Amino acid sequence: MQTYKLFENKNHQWLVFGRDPEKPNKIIDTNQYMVVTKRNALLMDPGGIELFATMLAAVIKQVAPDKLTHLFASHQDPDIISSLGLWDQALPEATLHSPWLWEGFIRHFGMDNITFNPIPDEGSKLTLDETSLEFIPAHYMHSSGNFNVYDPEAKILMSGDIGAALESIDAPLFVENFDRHVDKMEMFHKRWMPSNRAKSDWIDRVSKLDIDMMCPQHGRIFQGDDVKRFLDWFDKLEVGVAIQEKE
Amino acid sequence: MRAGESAAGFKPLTDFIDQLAKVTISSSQKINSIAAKLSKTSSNKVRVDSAITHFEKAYRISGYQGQILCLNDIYNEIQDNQNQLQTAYVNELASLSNELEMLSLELRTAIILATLSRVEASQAGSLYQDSLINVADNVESSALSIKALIYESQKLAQGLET
Repeated sequence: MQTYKLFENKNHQWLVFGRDPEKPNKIIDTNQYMVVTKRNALLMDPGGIELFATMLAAVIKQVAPDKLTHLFASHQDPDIISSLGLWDQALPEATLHSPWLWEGFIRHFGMDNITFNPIPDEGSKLTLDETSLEFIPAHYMHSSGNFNVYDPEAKILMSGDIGAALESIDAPLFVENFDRHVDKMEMFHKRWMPSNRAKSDWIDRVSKLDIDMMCPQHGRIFQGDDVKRFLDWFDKLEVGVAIQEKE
Repeated sequence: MRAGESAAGFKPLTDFIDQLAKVTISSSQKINSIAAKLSKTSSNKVRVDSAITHFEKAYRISGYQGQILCLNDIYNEIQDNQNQLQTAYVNELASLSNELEMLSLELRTAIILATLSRVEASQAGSLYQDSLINVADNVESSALSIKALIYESQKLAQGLET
């Protein structure tokens, strides 16, 4: 499991874990993000059960277990949070922030010790020491209860499955040529995103945020002008394509 | 008059059957409850066993040195929990086996009941003879069915003793 630092200032840092060479072949590669402040840390979309040991080893290199106080699951999928039952053993005092909609489902992964904090549909904020983070609604993008995490100070948006791409394990961390990257994203967004209306609503809201880096859960990170390029491309993309239109 | 005498004679027999039915139902409920508890303990144990395996892998990846050693306290707690669950598992399994054995012994009474019923049948008039033989057959066949299930359960429970 590789670890990269995306951002650092006096209050906090952003790390990304991914590109795991030990990952079993048929499991989709994922990016895990972590915000570390003075006394706390938030691990976002901690990943599937198969990834737990490598993630635990990588995370503990960065923060002591008692400092990893918060987890976030953007939605209920197994590649996002099926490791919960194991984190529940490792971090009994932690809090999991996740859409209220999925509490009864996510608990199936095993959660006897960790506290569940249901995020309301309209979103909420989380303060870690001096750092304020926002849970931005991204419902139906693709899950029906879904959130992004926005950090206005670092200008980073953790966008979950939005902006995701399917590509090789050794792909670069950042998008280097947006036009060439489109092929790797198109099917993912057309098929996994169900609603053009939800997509437009999300783009309207996210376009107003000041974003230097957009960090998806699969694939590469968008930075600088590529963020706007992504939003423009996504705006024109027809999604929900599995529905066969009747003539 | 004859019917009345015979009917009064059946009373201890029907009481006996009622009592056996009550014991069987109550014992079955207890067995179900122990089995449900054992299943829960077993699920928790699998989860904790899995955590131990994943923690050991994390230690291996980190070469058993450096920051990973911060996990030692948590790892020890998980191991304690694993030991407690193992003890609970063994105790609950013993309790289940014991309850199955008790019910099996209790059902021996059914054979006595069936015999009693057949004796009554031989002394009763033709009016009750068929009914009593029928009772004897039903009691015996029910008891044998239950005993077969108990035997099956005992074999399964033995398979869990590892």
